Amino acid sequence: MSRSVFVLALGAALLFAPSPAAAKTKADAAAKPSADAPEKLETVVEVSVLHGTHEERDADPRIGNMPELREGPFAKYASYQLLSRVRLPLSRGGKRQLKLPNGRLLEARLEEILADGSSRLVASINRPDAKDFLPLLEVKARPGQAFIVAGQSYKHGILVLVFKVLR
Amino acid sequence: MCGSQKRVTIATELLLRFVDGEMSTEEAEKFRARLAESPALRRELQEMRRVGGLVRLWASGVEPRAHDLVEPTLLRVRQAERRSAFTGSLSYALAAALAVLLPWSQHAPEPSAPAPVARGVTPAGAAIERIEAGDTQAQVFVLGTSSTPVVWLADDMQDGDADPPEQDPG
Repeated sequence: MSRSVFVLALGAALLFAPSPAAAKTKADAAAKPSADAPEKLETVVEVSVLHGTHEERDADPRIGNMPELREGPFAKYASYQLLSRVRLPLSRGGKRQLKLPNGRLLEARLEEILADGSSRLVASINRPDAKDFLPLLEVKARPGQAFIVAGQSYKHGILVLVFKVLR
Repeated sequence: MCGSQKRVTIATELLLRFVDGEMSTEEAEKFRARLAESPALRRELQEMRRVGGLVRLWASGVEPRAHDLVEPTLLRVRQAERRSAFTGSLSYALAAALAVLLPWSQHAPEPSAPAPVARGVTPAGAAIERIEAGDTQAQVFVLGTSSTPVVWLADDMQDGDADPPEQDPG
């Protein structure tokens, strides 16, 4: 790379570096929902339901690369199988439900889409006739990011729910 | 890499070492002689010093604390340039670093280690903002180098309760 490109890049960065006030406004905007975002904006969340058991089985190739499953409390289980994988398209205000293998109901909704493109999602896992299990989980995630909810008992093992924001 | 690029890379490397005072006395003398003979090399040296001077000048005019970030930033920029003198990545890394690092230096509540130069593009994990777990014991953690947050719930439901009853097909 030539020096001139170096200097140009530096100059541009210095010229357009935001002032403190501008930077604050930008940070504020990123923390608030996009006020004029059209209602049709939606997020698609992929939910993979895995079953971890003590059975010595080959790794389920459908799960893909999940190094987390070999670490921490996940490592207590010998194998994981993919039970289901669904995509939940979420619109603001709307909610989706997914019946889990253990009889509980996962409910997910899109709270808001922030100006930085991330989604604020709210999920709960409960059983209508039982005491609350997970009344509320609020997560902020950008497309491509994931989070895991694990530990529910199921058939001598556990359920691992992998949420991934697709868009 | 073609021959001319390689030559310039070596010259850049020498310039960087010269500016950083990493040359031995003898090596520096030789390099000064080379500088005296090469207007192009002198221009490059001048440009390199001007860039450093500009950043320092800017930093001193903005906020004293920003000065603490300038030298590490320049050092990282030079290291990046050494690694890839002829890739286009440096301009992006530099622009990203300055766009992210310098404004940050004006607003960070407490001074700390300088922000990594090119890590602004590294996606962080999702953020668990709130959990209401009722009577359920919940833990949030990340594992190893993964940035994916894990919410681990201690389930006291028995396996027998967990499995929904099978439907009798008959």
